[in-house]
Amino acid sequence: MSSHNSIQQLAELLQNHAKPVIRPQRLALSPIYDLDYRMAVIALAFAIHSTKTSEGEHRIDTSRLKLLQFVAQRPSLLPAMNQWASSKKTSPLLRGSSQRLRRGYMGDSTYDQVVEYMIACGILRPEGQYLALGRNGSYVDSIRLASEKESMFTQERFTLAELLRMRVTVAMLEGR
Amino acid sequence: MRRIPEWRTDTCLRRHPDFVSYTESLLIVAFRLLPMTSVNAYAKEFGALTESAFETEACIRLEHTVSGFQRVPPKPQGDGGLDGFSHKGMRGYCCYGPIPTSFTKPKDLEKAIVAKFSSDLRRLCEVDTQKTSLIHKANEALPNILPVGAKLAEIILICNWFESHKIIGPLHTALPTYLKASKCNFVSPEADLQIIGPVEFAQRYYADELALYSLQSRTIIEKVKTSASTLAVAPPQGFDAKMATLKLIRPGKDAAIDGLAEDFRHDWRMNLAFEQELDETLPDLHRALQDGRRRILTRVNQRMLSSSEPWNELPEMVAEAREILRIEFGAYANMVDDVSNGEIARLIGICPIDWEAT
Repeated sequence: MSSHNSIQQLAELLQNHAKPVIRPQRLALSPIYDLDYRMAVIALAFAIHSTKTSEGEHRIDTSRLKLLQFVAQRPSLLPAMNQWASSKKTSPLLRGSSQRLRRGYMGDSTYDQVVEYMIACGILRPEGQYLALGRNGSYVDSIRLASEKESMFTQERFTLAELLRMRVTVAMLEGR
Repeated sequence: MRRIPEWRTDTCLRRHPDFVSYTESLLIVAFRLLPMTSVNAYAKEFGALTESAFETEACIRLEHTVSGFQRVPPKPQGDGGLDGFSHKGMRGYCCYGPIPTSFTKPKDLEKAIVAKFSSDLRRLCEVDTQKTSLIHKANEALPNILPVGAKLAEIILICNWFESHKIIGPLHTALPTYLKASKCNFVSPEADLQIIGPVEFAQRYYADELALYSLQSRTIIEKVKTSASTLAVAPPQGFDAKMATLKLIRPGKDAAIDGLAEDFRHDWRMNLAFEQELDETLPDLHRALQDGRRRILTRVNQRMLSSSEPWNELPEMVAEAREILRIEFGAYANMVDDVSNGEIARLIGICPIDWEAT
């Protein structure tokens, strides 16, 4: 209740001495809910982590993409991701620490919505459990090139590069 | 298709009008959350708790599902080896939540579990080891805990790790041995025991979606409180300027204003930690929080503009913020009380609520 008292105290100090000024513009939404930003991160994750099939087509497992883009937007999760990726090799008693990450990535429904939008735009194309490039797939390359040229999304690109060194197993993608 | 030059930080702060439709998805988020039943999901979360957090959660669940369950407070007088009892003192519950990562081998963890529960059983049986024999050792707490004449006929040992059969035999051997040496003041001579882990606990005590929500909420709040203490907030210049203005408006109140500023920083830290936790673990709720903030600010604006004493509206807004967040958080509403105060503090901290001299 201390903050409630503080607010009460502030109100008493200001009453009859100051007039309120409300600045709604100061309440900026987190960029992670910006469609453009999310599309760019997904495009970068696809560009960096997709693999080539025997037909020469680039594709990525949709769950893998979901996990990669989730961590790319939250570089502070890299240590937890590292621990999760290596925990099975070290000790079966290690648990809990990566649980937050599992829950977070699996509950990221915004990803599903953005991917649906990218499929509708023809940037991505569903192929069973995989996502491949659609008729407007050049978007992915343009994002990668532009971000490198303009030094944009450096943190996200660094995180995605770090993730290349980790072994993301099927069990991890299933949240186990 | 969006063109590259559109990638600017400021455009990142825009929200796509058709893209976000998340409030209605709140109640179904649990079903998307994990590809498993609520029982398994609960067991996983419950098993990740340790020490007092584990005991507390076990007791909360038992209070909800076992008629007449009585919790025993461990501090300051001790719990006599019993975390709770039910069935008028005929069934006892002992909990143990070791930190698995503090053991390098499963064998060590098994030993620790056997040692802890054996110790609890000895206390309930009022015996203690002396060299190789067992001697009577009165349990001072139990006469004040159990109803007069009650004897435990069933003892449930609840552990956060039950992935080895090697803890079963030693404990089932220990109880009859202790009973033989016991005066059986508080335990029936035919008492049974049962060891259960997170999965068995969740199955037995009806861990449904609501239990899972509640557990997640409590876990989050605890983590937030811990991580808030380690966060360093660098307030924007506007915050300091705002406090400086307040000192000019109300000369002679510097000490009180400095105290206020510190309180707001504290609540702000809590708020930041809460936001970070939501973003990393429950992204859909994070989105709901952001939406709730806009509504709170709109209401602040409306109330202050329409009032002849606008600043007196501010304390009322805490209650209103709570109501708004309750709607947004749906099933997770019980975590709202801890953050709604901080929401108003945050609006002051990041400056949407500002003031100037009249």
